[in-house]
Amino acid sequence: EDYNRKFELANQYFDAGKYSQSIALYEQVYQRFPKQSEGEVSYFRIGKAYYMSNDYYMGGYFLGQFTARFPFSAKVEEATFLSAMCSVHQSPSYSLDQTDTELAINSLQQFIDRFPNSDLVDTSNVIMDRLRFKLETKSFEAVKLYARTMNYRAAVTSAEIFISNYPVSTFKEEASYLLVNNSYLLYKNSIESKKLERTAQTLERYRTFVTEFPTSKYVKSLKSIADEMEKQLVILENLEAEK
Amino acid sequence: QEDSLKIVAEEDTLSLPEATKPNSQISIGGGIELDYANPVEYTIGPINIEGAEGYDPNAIRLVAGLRQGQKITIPGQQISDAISNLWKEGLFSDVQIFADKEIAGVIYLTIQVAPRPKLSKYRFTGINKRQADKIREQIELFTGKTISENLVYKTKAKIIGYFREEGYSAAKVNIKRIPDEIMMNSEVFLIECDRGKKVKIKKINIIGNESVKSGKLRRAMKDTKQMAIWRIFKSSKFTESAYSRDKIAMLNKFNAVGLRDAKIVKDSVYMVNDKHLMIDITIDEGEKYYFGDITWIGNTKFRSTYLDTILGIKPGDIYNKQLLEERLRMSQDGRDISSLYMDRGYLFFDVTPVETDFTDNRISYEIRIREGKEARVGTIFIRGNTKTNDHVILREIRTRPGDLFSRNDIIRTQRELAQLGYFNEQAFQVNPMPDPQKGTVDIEYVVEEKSSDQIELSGGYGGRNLVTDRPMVIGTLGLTFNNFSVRKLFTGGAWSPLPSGDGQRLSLRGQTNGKYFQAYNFSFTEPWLGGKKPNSLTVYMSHTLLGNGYLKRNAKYEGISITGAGVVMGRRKKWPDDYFSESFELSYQYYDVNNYGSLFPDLPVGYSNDISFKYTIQRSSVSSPIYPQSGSVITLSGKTTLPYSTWEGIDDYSSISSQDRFKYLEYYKIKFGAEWYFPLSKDQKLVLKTRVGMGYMGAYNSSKGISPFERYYLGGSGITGMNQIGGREVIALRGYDDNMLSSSAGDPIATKYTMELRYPISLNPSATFFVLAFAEAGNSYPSFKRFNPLDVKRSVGAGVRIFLPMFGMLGIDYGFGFDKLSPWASGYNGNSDTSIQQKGYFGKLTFTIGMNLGEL
Repeated sequence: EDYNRKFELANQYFDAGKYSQSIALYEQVYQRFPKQSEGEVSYFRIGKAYYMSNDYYMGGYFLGQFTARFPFSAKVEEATFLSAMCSVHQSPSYSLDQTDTELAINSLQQFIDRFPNSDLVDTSNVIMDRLRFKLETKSFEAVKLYARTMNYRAAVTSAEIFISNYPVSTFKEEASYLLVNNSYLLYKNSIESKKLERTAQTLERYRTFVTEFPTSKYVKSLKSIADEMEKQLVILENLEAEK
Repeated sequence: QEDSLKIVAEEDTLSLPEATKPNSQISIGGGIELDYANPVEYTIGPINIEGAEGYDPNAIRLVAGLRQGQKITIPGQQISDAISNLWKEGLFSDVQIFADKEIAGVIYLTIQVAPRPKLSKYRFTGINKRQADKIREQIELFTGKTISENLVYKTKAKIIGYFREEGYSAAKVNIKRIPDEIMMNSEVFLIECDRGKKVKIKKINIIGNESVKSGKLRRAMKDTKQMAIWRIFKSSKFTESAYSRDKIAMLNKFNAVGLRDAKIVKDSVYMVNDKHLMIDITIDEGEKYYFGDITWIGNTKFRSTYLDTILGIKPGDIYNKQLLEERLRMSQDGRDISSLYMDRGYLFFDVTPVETDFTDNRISYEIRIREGKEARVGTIFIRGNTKTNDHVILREIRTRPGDLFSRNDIIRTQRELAQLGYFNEQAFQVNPMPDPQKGTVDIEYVVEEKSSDQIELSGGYGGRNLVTDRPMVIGTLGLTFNNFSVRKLFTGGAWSPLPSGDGQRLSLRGQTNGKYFQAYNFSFTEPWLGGKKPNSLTVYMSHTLLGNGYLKRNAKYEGISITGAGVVMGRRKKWPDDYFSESFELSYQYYDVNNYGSLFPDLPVGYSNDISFKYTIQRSSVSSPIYPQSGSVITLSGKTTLPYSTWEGIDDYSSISSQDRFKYLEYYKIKFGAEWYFPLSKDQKLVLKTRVGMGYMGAYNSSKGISPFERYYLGGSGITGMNQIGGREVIALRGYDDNMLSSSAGDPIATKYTMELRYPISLNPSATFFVLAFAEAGNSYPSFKRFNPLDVKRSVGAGVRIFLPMFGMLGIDYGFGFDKLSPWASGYNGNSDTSIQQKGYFGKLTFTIGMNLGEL
């Protein structure tokens, strides 16, 4: 059993992109020299080979383990980054469970904290923004769903939560529009005793909207709502006063 | 002065090489002068590891936290840390660090360790293999485990504890440690066990109890039982832990009748011989107490009188602390004060009963209520949906942002998510996460995806081809995707293995045995058409062909072909309540009959168009679709064609050819079915299902008559497929042969009653399995004159059902029929009648495929 030969062969396979063959050999080499430099290289390359062959589950395992087993290795930076990238690749579409996305954001953040001078910090930041945008989209889609299914109160509440969670979101204009619009629809479908309060709320939300988005394409349609609300407010306040 | 004191203090922890103590820590030598008052900084040179055979030297350096090139202060914290880190690993019985030499500020260190012995294997004597296996589960021994005195002691204690719990009070255990000759520095444990005799409780004597009978007290002691002949399932062993638990349980029985001072004044456990022991318990009952006045404080939402009613405790009632607690916080029937508030959104509700007065053994209470804010739902989180898209789940969830928190809504949501069929019902989790500051509660729903697709692939060998007189092969291929996504059909990567997650249903099915029989079905359902409201749309197409085996161009060909298509719109209703749903269906069927008088005596040759409209209203509140444990399903449907005869202007159709008479089919059909599920056992597993069904098909013009198609065929398994030909309504009645209760051309009226007792063996979603016993009765009638809902044919029997996600529901029943069939039945004087006449019953094995096929 010539392990040196195996190691060389494994390196050749790895360089040629034949990852599954190289994994099999590297595993034998690592078993033989778990503490030597051949073992270190093998272990790293097993993880990287899985990563390159799109097996991010196994890749994430080996690369994550690598940083724990060889904390002083020169490859730790790359392994940490690639292990985070495995989580990134496993993050599914925004409409599914985002546990992996949150994991990926955390791993990238840990990478940046640990290697603040790495060349990969910029890349990591870009990827993290993309991942956060997923969570943002997921949240906004829920607002849209409640609006579409005519659950006005749910749309109002979820839009408010969305705006407070993502104050600089690209969806903010649309979310604010949904907030005003559903606030109005909620008023429309209210019992008499709640109308006054909801009229006032709708007007207040409308004013916030026009202040923040004076040139929005929604201003025109919301303006007519606001006009109606102004009139209603006067009528309702008079009614209230009579009581 | 102070300096010298310091040195002495340090020397206790650090010692010099010539005075190495056992477990000593650091020795600095090699000619290095140490001045404890003036620590010096060195650079670490190579670190030598000694005595660590079988350990990786690098790992030891790593654990010690010492690295070549590192700066180190001696004396200083780093060395102490290194030692304590190595100690913490628990692998060594001795750790020392020496400085070998010092050259130009570089210090050469040696870490010397003495590894603890390791366990190579262990074995038992004095007990059999089965007991040894049980003990293995309890003790945490494995090959390679580091041995310490504590481990030996702990293991011994655990084994003795195990024997005691098994009732061997006198068990003895000894662990012999033998050095292993094969492996260096390792030992073999020889665990010698002597269980001694099993000790049983001969009698439990209870003295001093007047208000509660001794028998009741003994029953209250769950795991401490005296010997009795009928005690087969529970042994009368004695264990200390169970005994102390049971004493408390016994005293609770006194508390329940107002004796809250009751106590055990003396109890003794003593051996009467080497196998038996006795327990004597002496009780002092104390005085009897009653509830006094109960006043409420802090309630604004409900009146005190209403709370009194819910509490259900009146002044003068026998004092029972446990009852009071139950009524305030957790009652089995859900009628308690906390539930009252919680169900109305008062999630931060709190209640404290305070004893205020205590005269004449009457205890008065002031019940303090803190209603708190009404909690509103914040964000809804969904976890675990790795396949199903958020919107499919979110639109079903009844707790929406801004709503008042309601426990009832959560329960409904859980039920409705289960009904989607995409998730493992047993793995649902709902985690409300309240935020008392904001008065909101975020709710997290955790689901676990399961496979909801079904595949049916079968080949069979059966029947006889009339032409070739050979048995025929029948093949079926059916695919049902319950969580399909049309949207993703052309998205790359979505095919894994199929585009899924939008909750659409796609079903494809083909069945054939060549020329004799062919059936093709296609259907597609979008449950939320337009995404606004739960209005479903289904389109379907089908084509069926049944013949006698000859080709269509052969003169001897007899057969029928049916081609149909339809559209169904379904919607959920909010009124009368939101368990209701309704559907509208428009369908078209084209029948082409070729010399098939044997099946359709009314239309042996010809074609027929059936354009019909159907309305169905249903109320369904069953707890789960596969194994309902409670709830009911009630369905009423009406189906009609246009009444062509009213404007055709023909009074007497007898002179008209059957082709012209049935060119456009004309009939109406009314069906009613209701089923209820009653949980009979406490765990809701044993369930009684009762079902009533009735169907009636009528003609708009008695001269024109009813349709030759669409009629009821009662009896047997109710399996569709080949039997269902010609728009037949095939209805199961176990214990009789297939279709034999009806006229050979089918009947327009049918009725059926069923009672089924079900018990699940496994509720695991990957294979739900239950057994059932049934009693049912039914009949079909050729005309209204013959109709008599009490003239039914009875049967009883038993069966099993298994639900496999990939195959759907499969079942086998064996039933016994007891009644001779009606004179119009095609099975009149047939198999079953003969058997019933001779033996008094007719036995029949029936197979079922599918959930609700063949029901009225």
